[in-house]
Amino acid sequence: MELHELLLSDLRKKLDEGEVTAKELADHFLSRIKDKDNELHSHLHVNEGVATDVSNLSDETGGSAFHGIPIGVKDVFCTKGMPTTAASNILKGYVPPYSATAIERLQGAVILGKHNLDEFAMGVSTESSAYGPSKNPWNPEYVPGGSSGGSAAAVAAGLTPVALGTDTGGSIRQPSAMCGVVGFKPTYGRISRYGVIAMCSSFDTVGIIGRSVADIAYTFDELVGPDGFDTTVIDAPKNPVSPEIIELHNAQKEDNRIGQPAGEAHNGLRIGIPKEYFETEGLSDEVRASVEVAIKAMEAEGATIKEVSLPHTNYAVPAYYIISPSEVSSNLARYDGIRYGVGVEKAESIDDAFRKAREVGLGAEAKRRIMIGTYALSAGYFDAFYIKAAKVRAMIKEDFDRVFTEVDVLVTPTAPTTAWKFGEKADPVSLYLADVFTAPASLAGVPAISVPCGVDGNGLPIGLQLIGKQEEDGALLRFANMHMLLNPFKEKPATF
Amino acid sequence: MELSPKEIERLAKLARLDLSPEEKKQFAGELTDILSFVEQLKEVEVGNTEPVKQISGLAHVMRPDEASYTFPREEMLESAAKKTEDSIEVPQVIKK
Repeated sequence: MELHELLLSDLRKKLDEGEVTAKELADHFLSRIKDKDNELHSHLHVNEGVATDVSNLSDETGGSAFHGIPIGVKDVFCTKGMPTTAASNILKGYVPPYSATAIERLQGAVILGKHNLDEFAMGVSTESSAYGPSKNPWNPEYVPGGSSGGSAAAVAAGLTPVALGTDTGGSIRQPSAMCGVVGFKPTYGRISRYGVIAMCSSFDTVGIIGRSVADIAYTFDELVGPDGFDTTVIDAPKNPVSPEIIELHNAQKEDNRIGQPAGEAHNGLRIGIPKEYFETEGLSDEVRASVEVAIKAMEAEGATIKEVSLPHTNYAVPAYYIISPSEVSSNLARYDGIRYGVGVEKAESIDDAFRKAREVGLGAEAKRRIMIGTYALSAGYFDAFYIKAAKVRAMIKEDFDRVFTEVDVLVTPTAPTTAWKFGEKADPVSLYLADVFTAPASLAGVPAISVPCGVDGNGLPIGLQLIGKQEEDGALLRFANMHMLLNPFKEKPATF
Repeated sequence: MELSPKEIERLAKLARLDLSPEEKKQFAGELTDILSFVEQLKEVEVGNTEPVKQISGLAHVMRPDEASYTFPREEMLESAAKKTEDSIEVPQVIKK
């Protein structure tokens, strides 16, 4: 097997046993990026010098899980000394003087580069990136999804073993589905967002994109827990999830049974199928069929399948598109071209300086969302829009709480369709509807993961979403892992 | 709910955006569409439901009031567009 086909835990073993050096690993991925990224454009910045830097990392591991391991990072994570732009012109040339907690936690990791995204993480295709879109490795005429489209593409093409991303309304799960990789959004508040460029503070969740649940779990264990900077981090007990999951991977036999008696792998598990998701107009037949096959497979392994109802599902996207732009209008107010980012040469007043810098530096989608948010928060509209949406959000959360007294996990499609061609969807509202299945879990703050479950007639990947109870990230990952071990997704894009 | 270019001007002013005439026209149409889409929330009966403030349930997370670490001034000034030796430079704020 090639180095880019191995699990992170296998890379760790090879590094520890001296079979490969950190430099060889870095070189391997950097040459793949050099070879394939001109076409894919998954990276905004490649850390070309990193292979020489790693020779300063002692090849004896300091005992840290990520020492010497290459990673890639969505360009919303501040990385000290490395450009960080959020794919916006207003942060062109910005080099942070510090690194995000999530970066610091992966001690000794070798950062290969920063990944492209929709500007300020607002979008479902990377088409709003100020630096040009990324391409889907399965077919470059198609979008990779978004906003973490660069990260999903990079992982799918084997340009990085794992990527850190952020998921606000579906920004890890949806591109992972479009690119045939695994994308995990933990419970809101599990991982510190210190040093992560903020989009919507009540939604933004640091998450992970990888090619297997084992790699997701390996990374998750290192990232969780309070850091003294981000006060929204939950102080939950640190129960490592990865050892058990990785052990199952290593025990996998030829017949994918992993020692599980046939028909019993999911014994005792109660799976809920939310009927509103499957009644959604716009859900493609191929996606529906593929998800139904996966559900049947779960049933065949002893899970109890139950139809459940989340009655406010259809209000999730409208509620999201009131609350999230409101938070965007607040979070993007700091981009004034003064303390960081691109400023203007001539300004008549401070106000003039702000307006000119923002006009030139911010893209159309950013402006749209700032203005919608400004409207929803302004006097006379605040109650009808923002407060109403926040109440609907409470009802959506109640739907999940109620359903989770009857079942342990929910299974749905990740997105209503597979990837679409560039330019095919230009109207803002039609793009917003790509979040129809991912937004509810974001509103409720519960963990959710997308795993690949098939490809459509055009060879484009289909994603299966598993949604878990708040703070039960471990249980969700264990279920996702078991399902994938029993139903491996073996297809690879041509670029892999 | 139709958003007029005048309404767009008001929002642009609040958001400190210097929109071109073409942008004002384009956004008036697009924002009207978006608002029409989100207005379906009007249908929802919310009763006595409290609005969500923090979805994780956390509130009032405190720490001791002690200054801990600092960034060197030169490092902080590096990112500023305009600066003097020890400060960020801005157009005059308070007019005489």
